[in-house]
Amino acid sequence: MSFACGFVLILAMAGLGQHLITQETRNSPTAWAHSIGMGLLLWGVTGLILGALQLLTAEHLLWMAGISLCGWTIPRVRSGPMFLGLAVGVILLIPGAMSIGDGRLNTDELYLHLGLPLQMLMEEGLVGGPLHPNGSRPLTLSMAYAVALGTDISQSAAAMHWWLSVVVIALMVQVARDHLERSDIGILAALVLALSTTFAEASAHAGSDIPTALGVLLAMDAARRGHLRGAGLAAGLALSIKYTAWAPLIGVWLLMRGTPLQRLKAGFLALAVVSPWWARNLLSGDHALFPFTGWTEPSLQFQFLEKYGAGRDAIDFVLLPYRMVVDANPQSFEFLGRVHPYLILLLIPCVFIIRSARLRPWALATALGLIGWAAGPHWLRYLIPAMPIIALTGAAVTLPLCRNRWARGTLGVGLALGAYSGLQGHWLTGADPQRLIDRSGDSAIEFTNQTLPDDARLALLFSWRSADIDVRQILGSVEDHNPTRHFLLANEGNIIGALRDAGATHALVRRVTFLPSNYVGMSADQFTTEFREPVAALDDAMLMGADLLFRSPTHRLYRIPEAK
Amino acid sequence: MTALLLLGLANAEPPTVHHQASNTCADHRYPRVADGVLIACDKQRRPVLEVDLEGGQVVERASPHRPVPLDHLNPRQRAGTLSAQTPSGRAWVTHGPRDDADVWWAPSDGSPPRPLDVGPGDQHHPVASDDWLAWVSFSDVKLWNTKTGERRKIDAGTGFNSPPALGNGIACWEFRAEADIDIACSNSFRLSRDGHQTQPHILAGRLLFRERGTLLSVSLEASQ
Repeated sequence: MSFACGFVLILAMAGLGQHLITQETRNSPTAWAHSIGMGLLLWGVTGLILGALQLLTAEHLLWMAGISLCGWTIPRVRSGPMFLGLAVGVILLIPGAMSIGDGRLNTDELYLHLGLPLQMLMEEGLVGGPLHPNGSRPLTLSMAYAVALGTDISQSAAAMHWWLSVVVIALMVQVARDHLERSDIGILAALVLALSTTFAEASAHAGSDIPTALGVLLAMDAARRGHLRGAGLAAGLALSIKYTAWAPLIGVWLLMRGTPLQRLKAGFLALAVVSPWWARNLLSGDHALFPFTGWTEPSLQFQFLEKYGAGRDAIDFVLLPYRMVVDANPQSFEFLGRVHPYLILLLIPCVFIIRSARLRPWALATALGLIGWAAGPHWLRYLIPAMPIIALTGAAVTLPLCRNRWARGTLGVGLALGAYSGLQGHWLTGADPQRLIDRSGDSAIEFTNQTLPDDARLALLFSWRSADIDVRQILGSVEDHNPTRHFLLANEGNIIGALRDAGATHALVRRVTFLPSNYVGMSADQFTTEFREPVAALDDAMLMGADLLFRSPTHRLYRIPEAK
Repeated sequence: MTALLLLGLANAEPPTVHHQASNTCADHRYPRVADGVLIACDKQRRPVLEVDLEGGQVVERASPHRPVPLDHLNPRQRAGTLSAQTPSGRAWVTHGPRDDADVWWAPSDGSPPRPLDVGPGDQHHPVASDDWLAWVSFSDVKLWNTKTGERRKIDAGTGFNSPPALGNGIACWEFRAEADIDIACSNSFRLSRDGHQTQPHILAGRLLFRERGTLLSVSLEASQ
């Protein structure tokens, strides 16, 4: 049922999007994929408007999806995806589809991708600002997940995401045929992704990385065809899902077919697509790029890059291509993932073909995608937006070199052997899928759902399993529990009063321990002030001002008393 | 003058530190007094140690101590709560309306369970000593002699964190002083020290409490 629902939602996106893509894009073989992307983008904009009007209900969103589906009564796009691409996508992602039955097991989908749309549906409007920092991101994809959640069909959001993953694979095969002259390049690239734990696992959960990759690949496709408006819109789609798309998109943009002025226009179009989300933040009094920056009173650094990867000295960056393949462990917070060695190895022949006008844009987008990833946090899933282009580039430069049977056989054997490495930590190689989720809060969450009245508003303090909790919430988690730490630092000495003023009737507090070793370069005083003291202040405030309702080894649920 | 007297009582005897009973427990309800024995935790955070306060001997139990399971009772016991047993019956906490809790009573004579204290008041934290039962309601400590039917009520301002303690004919409870949590008792004893003093228990004439993760005790007899 969930897969049928997810498929219908993708169909609905395309039903709307096909009427809004440009004429030139509509006539291209990849128009079907651009229709899906445009439909997704329009759902985001519609959701923004509905949210601003406090009309963001499941009913309205389902009407939007239904009207979108009606777009097929006058079909504007005649050709669908290549059967080969679609078949490859469905077959390669079957393990992901099987995982969807295991339930919500992914941290990000619980705190963000499902948690946030559920909160918006409960509030019937947008959420954002320091009390809902995750809601201040661009929310294009969150609106689509809100539609899926509005159906009340279990795992429909994850299933919709799985279909988007299939679309990415199908598009890779088609793009390879159209721009790289051979479909088998796309199949090899798709295999590299599907045999990487990071991508395979991501396909099984409601996430943002693969949909962002779809936007990036659509932008590349449009840019290669010289469809500048299509490229700008697709780039805007990618950025309005996740900002980490910026690096490969710059590569796409720099070598886009067209005059410098046309490129400039496409770039502005991409920014214009994201700008409503920035305007919304500015109108709310936040920084346009909040929550990634703009934490004031007190100021707070959003992200500590040193926490990720194996180091950030010059030698670490030199060794990064080796470490990201060999040392990466899906169960370690260094890289938190695993990729097939071919993702990097196939790029080695790039140095010989850099003069190829056909491949140069792909090589540039690949290089900038990798550099952009290296500049940010080194978790491998942050590379997913660039992964299809990286894999396609690698396959495009290597496969033509394998001209005889022996070379192809060697490539195939390497692919098979590398699969065992690339799928480390995946259930296909014996890993426990339950390892993906911290279940320590189960008893507290069960108690919370059983006990709290419908009109309660729960402050999640160092706690993050938003989607598992059935009542309205504030705060929650992102990065180093920034929402909670900022709230505690900003309301020092009056934490209970501030929670009450923020509308919280209850608080779920998770026991948390910050390790100074994760914050290289931070002084002991700063660490104490920013990390240790807020935790201690919270414990003290709860003991002095709130009523303990439940306690487990990891969580405590409090009632915030009404003001006397 | 009264305050000075109380302060004097509070400082009359330095607390005894019970290091052998101060390991952190996975279950926050331990260390605690159960059936007249102090149950504490080992290094693995399991409640397997029986500690003799006077002699200091520690006996390791064959299996971890566990609260009595009450799955057979109706209405069901609220998760995370402890029941209280007297010779006349058992009291336990159930879910009330909204986030409120209620206290129910199951007599030992086999007659059907009945509500003991329900409705507004967030009744919870039942504890027992001999025939006496105590629980918290509207932050008061209510006492009931389950044999004679005698009832008392103490305006305590407690119940926000852990149950009151009952023993030796005395009830003690946490209360919020101006700066931190202190412990008060029905015999006018006040335990007021720097930092929080929490989780009171009474055993063998001593008031046990936790302070900065350590189990300490003071004599209650001197204050009577």
